[in-house]
Amino acid sequence: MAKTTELKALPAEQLYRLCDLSQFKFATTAELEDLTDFVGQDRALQAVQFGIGIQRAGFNLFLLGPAGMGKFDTVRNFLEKRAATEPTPDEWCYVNNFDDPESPRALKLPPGCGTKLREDMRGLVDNLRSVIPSAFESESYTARKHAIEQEVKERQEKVFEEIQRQANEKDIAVIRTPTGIALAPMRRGEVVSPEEFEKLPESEHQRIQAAIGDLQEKLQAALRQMPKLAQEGREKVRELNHEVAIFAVGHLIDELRKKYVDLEDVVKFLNDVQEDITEHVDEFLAPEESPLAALMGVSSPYGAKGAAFFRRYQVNVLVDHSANDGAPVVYEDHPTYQNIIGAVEYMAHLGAVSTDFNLIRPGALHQANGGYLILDAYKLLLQPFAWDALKRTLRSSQIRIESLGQMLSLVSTVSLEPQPIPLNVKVALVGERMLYYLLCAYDSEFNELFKVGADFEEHMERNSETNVLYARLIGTIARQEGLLPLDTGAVGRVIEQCSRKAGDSQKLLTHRRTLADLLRESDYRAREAARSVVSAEDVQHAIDAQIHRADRVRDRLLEETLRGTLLIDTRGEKVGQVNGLSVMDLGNFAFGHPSRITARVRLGKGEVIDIEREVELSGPIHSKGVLILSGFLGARYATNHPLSLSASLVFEQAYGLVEGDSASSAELYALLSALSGLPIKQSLAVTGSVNQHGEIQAIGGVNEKIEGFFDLCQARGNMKGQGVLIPASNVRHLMLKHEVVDAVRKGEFQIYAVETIDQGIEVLTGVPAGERDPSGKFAEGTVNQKVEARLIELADRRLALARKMRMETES
Amino acid sequence: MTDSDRIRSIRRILVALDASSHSLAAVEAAVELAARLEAELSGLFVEDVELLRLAECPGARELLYPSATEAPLSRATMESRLRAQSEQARKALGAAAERLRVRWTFRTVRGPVTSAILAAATEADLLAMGTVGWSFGPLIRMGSTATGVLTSGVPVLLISEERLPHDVRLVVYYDGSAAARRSVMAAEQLAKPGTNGITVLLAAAKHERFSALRDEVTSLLKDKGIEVRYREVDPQDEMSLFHALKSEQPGSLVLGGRELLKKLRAMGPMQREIGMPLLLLDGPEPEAA
Repeated sequence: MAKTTELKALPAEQLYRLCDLSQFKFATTAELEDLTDFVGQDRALQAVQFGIGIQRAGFNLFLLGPAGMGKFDTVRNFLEKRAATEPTPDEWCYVNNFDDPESPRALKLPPGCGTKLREDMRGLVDNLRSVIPSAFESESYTARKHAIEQEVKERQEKVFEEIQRQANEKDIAVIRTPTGIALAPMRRGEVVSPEEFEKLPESEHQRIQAAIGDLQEKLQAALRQMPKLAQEGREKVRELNHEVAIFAVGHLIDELRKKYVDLEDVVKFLNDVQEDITEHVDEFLAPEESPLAALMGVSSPYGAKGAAFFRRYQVNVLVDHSANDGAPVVYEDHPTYQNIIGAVEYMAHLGAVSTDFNLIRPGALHQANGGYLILDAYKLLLQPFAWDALKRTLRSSQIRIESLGQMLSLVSTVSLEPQPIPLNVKVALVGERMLYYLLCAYDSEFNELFKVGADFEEHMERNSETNVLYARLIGTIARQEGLLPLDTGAVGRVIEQCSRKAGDSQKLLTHRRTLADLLRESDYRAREAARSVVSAEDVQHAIDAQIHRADRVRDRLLEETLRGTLLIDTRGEKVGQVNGLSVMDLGNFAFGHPSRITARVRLGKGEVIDIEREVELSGPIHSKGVLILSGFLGARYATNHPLSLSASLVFEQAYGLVEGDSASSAELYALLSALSGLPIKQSLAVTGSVNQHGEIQAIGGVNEKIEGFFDLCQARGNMKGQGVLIPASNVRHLMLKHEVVDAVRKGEFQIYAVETIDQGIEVLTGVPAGERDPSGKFAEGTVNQKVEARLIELADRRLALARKMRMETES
Repeated sequence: MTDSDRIRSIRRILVALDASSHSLAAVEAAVELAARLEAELSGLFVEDVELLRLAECPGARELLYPSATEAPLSRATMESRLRAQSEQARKALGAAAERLRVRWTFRTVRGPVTSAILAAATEADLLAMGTVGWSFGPLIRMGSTATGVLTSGVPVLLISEERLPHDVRLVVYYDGSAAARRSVMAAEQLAKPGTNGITVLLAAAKHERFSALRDEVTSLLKDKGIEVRYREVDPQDEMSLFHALKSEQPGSLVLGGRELLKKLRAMGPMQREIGMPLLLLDGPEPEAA
């Protein structure tokens, strides 16, 4: 008779890796120095350093990893440190293009000069608005203008006086009419009446007609000369205005030219301003307020009357680095197209919209030009046109502000085409791994523009060295967040919990947000208990409270199981029935729960039917696990005869999708039990996947699964002999809660680490699995012998049936 | 009634109109004055019978401005044009008056221009007229009309092409006459305290006379808070007045009586160089000093 291999349950020490507090040489974390670097992220940090350091096109960064890893803080810290050592970049302004106002000119200025130039121009215009009117109100100007007008008038009058004189000599009246000038015969200073004219002799008529004809010609010539004389007068007045304006403006602008003599573009701009002012000097002389506008009660959006015109001399400082020291590091939280590229805004006035260069608004790229820009990849991709615009800008290395409305032909108003600004920026995108991989796969430009991927680890090694580093990290966060310091016990408990969260007793979680949240809650509990230092008790309180807040679903499931609504046996033995274990993930909380898995066998064509798969409640990985079972059965038991069974497997009372292969070993145990007729102990639950060779493979969520079965057993009371079979390769992942460890220590609960199906079936049935002897047979009474015998029996019956059917067909 | 009261009693201003730029300048100035004095404006457009006669004259010809093309003349056409001009003048007056909220009326009469204006002026406290340069012919003999109106005792505001500025500077020709005193008081009424002061041209050949006249003006403007600048002009020499006015800012309003008008007319063509608006006020002859 074969014997079982006596697989021993795991000792309590293997179920939970305590943190050795003796390695901490401090009383509280307040004594620890701040941790400046991020722990456990060497790969990512090296990538970030490389990405920041290399000054080549396309070497922008993508920091990938789950949210809450601290990617943003990492990159910002790195960038800010580096940016502080780099020179402050130039500033950019937009000014009016006097030749083409629809294409404003971009001016590059040294740091701090933009606002100075803006204030200087504002001061200049303010000065000119008083200086120019004064110059034009001066007595000398008025006198000269009057002299010009008088000269024109006199020249005009002289012409008419001469005609008038000749007319008087010939008794012809020159009279102004509503529409022109009339010539008529005159006697004694009055126009001759028709009757009197008729009485005149014919010779007199002829003389009058000749005289009038002659005067008419002269008058026509004089009238034609009038516009020319007026034009000459206007030209002289314009020259005078120009001369006076130059006199008034020149010395003020000269001061600015001297101030900005080293900036060629600014000097050119000032020259343009001077020329424009002298051409539009009338605007400086216009009254402050339009009577019509005042009468209508309409106010201009540009401010007082006249202010609209003077906007053309303003300086729109797009980027101001006057308060900055070093290169800029910009984070755009709302990366819309406009917020990244900039925009041209409009002003509405009396139903019309208008714009000018003063309404050009900078985007994040303008602000970050010469430095660094950090963007959230997910937010960026959500914004229409923003991603394409960013790529286009990075590719062309210049920021070209284009109106979205114009691009999409949604608006047809005249807009601006500001001169593009050269771009030199390093962009760091922060996002989930999935986004990175999708962009790599589907966006051909992405790999060209974001050549450096910084992949953040979720876990780090847990050893005495990293524990100390972790303690410093805890201390740093506590200090940054203004939390109470933690004593060594609390630090140890936090480390253990982070190991548990990592799902590995040899790893620590690097998810900064999870760690920070635990510390915040522990601080809250400590303060609630009026403690000045956070203790292990406070941390445990916080962990328990976190679980309690989230475990409503688990409680309901447990309740229904205890009430018998959900059928789970934890005592006795059953053929073809085993307790499987599954994990439910609720986002921020996961828990395990046992499920009853049953198997039935009958004569068939060698198929194992997964009922979940038949009704499409099985995920592909689960289905794969079930198909592996056929492979295992066939290879082990039916090498010389057909596999002639039809087996059905089902997760009883499962109404949702079943996914994962962690129950495949349990399904195989149920199948072997059904085939062998040997009952399975219901006091045990099983988890682990199996391969075609019968080896048990690691699964996820081992702690939650064990605890799920433990909770049920504990709730039912009188635990004795209950336990869980887990894959041996999962032992290193064990970080079980204290209740489980205590129960194991007391011998009330066992955890078996199994490597093969044979080990597992022995524990479950208490019957040796059996191995083939040299003759190829399993020892009598073993599980494998019984299974094989049953399969041979089924095969024989199938052959017999086949023969019988053939004979019936032949006869 | 004191001099000041007589100025204050200007309740009705008659503005003689055609649609020329000179008339429109007169409208603006008259409205400005009416607003300051809270007076009522009365617009008068005269359909000149001489023009109608001209239109009927077989030998007459008309050249249109500014094209200088010849147009046929007829009485009907001329009447139509005068009506249009009248309407244009009415609108201009209405717009200007309503902008400054001045009460106004308007009427059109037909007849000889000078006598029609003189007839209407008898019902007004001030007559505002645009003066006409030689460029378009002496349609209104301004000098004789003004003289006639002055004789009737109605002040006359004469405006050339220059519009009356908002912050008009005031120049008073003071020779000690009643009209001169009225001119000083009128200037006091029109001057805005704290802005431009008044220039008083004292018609004094001798220093003693200058001092006496200055004391009179000082007494008239005592405690009025108005800055007064005095200049001496020789009453016997028109050129002295000419140079004094030329040195003032163009567009200043010159106030004075019939003596001023006489001296301006005596200047002949040089008068045009001054080109300032005139406010002529008449009164009893000054008593012998």
